[in-house]
Amino acid sequence: MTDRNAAPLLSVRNLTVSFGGPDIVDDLSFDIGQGEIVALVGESGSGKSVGSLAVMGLLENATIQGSACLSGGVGSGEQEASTELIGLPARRLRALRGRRISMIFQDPLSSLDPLQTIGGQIREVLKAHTRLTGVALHSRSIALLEQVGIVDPEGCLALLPQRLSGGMRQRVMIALAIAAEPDLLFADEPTTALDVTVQAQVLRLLKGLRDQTGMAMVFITHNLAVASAIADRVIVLYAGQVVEDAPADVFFRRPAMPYSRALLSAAPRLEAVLAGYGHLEAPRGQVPSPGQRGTACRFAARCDDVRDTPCLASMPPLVSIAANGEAHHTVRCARWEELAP
Amino acid sequence: MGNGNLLYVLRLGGVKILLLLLVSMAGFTLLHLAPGDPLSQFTLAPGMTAERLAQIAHGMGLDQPLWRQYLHWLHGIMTGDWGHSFRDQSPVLGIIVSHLTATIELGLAALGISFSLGLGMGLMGALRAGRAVDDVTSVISIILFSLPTFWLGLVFIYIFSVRLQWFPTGNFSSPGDRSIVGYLRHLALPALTLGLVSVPVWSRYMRTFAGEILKQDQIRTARALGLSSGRIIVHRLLRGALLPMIPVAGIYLPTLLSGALVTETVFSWPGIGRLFLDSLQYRDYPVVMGVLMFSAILVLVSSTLAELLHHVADPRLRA
Repeated sequence: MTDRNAAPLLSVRNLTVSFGGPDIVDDLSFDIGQGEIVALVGESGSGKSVGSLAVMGLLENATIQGSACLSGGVGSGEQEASTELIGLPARRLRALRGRRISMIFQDPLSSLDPLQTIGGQIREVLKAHTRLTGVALHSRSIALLEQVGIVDPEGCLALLPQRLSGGMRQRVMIALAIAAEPDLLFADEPTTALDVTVQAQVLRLLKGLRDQTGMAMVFITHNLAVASAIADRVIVLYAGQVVEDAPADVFFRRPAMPYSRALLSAAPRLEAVLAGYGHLEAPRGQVPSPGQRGTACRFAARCDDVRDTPCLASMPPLVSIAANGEAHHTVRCARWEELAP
Repeated sequence: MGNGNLLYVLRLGGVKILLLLLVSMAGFTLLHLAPGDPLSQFTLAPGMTAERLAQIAHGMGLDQPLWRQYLHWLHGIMTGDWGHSFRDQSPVLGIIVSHLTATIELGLAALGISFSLGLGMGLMGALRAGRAVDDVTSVISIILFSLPTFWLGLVFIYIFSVRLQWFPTGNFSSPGDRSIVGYLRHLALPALTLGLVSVPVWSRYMRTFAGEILKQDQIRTARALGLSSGRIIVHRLLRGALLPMIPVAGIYLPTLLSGALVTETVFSWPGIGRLFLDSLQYRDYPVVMGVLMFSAILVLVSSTLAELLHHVADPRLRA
């Protein structure tokens, strides 16, 4: 699915976000390829949500620096120029949202309008982005609900969100988000509020939609099991920075950053068990808060492999550790070579 | 379901009738406990004798024990006879109706002012939460809330009528002037007074309801889906915040009546409120009781209507 040679769909460079205080997201850089599913992984406070909301232009009262470049769309026939999202006027950003980039959130009930039927909400989005009316509008609504696996789409259109189960609500939410066929979907913990069985269904649905439509996805989660089920690539965030960026298969077999390993041992996964991180262990301590990040490696205080030099001497840069011919793999650890298994 | 609904309606209706009964008893008792006597207006009439007074008292039924007077009055009310004014013998219901238009006009004008100002201020405060606009609207609300109605009315009369001479000091219209402009000039100050003092109710509730909706994920989601802010404000925010305002309105609309009492007195506005005060001064028991019952019924009707309207307007309750 992923073509590394093609220009990335979204290219985030040196993204820095603050709310008048210390930087919440600090110099974040990553690429999302066309049709690629990237898991943005990290503990709460790592900046994964804030970073995504900044790219979507959904943060208020935030100071945002850096760049997030969305390459031109090809789906609509005519080639559009690529667009810099950071600093884009609100009007143009709004026209892009829903149509090129879209987002779903953790709690599908509070994300839906409680006073409007499902049909009304789908029509609202379709009217905002398409010229569909009448019968065409109706059949497109039905098709969308079918696409997200709603069994009785006709009946569902007339229902209020409160009448739907959690899984159904998230399916409807996904239908709304993909209504205008965006190229990129941010999914912020979309399965966290759901039962485990429903979680698996929604994950399968999202992956199926990608395979069908070629829509890329940024999947924000703190759950590595979920990430392993869906992601082509994993980006680990720690204290507002990228600390590892690796293809999913590489990441889950041999993570390079001690933090990634700590996360993996905290998640009960078969692959991790086989790789020798079978004991369940949470990383000790806490993520340093934005004001107390210091100039050394931010994971140092919690790292089992920390050394005064080089770890505490300076901030390790994000370096590429991909061998010749291997896929893109970067890590932010001064001792990655010594620690490599 | 149907059976339960019927029981619910019966119980609700029963409670309301009981309430009306209690209000009428309390009103009747208080009225007769208060010093003063409806007969006092006749005592100074020339050629008045003790026998003649007793005759009048007997004619009015005032020589009977209180409980009999009450039962008599209650029987009248039940059979649609609200009694006759002690002052001029005209039927109470007719007097109330003839004063009603003035109060309704004043009430509607005041409601328009307080609703638009209050909702606007609340909405602005919620949309600019924590910023200057929010603080300013809050402070204005608190100031308006603390102002006594009569004082505000007098200040308006002093500034706009006495000093600036823009508006008349009171009354429904000037003699000989039947123009709509003349009427509106008379309506302006009382409507503004009554309207301004009820602004805080709407603005504070609106600020709270709208603030709660803005905190919900659905607003962020609507933006993420590319809906315009105008659409979001009207269709999500306004709709969602106005819905819980309906029951609030049901409770607060009748309080306009008590505000009207003061406002109508200050501005000599010939409405229900002034009728009540005048009748109280003359110890015109039938009219006072009539207005009292009328207001009590209005309170119950308005809260019931609000409840029903809320049921109709909120799709979640219909489903």
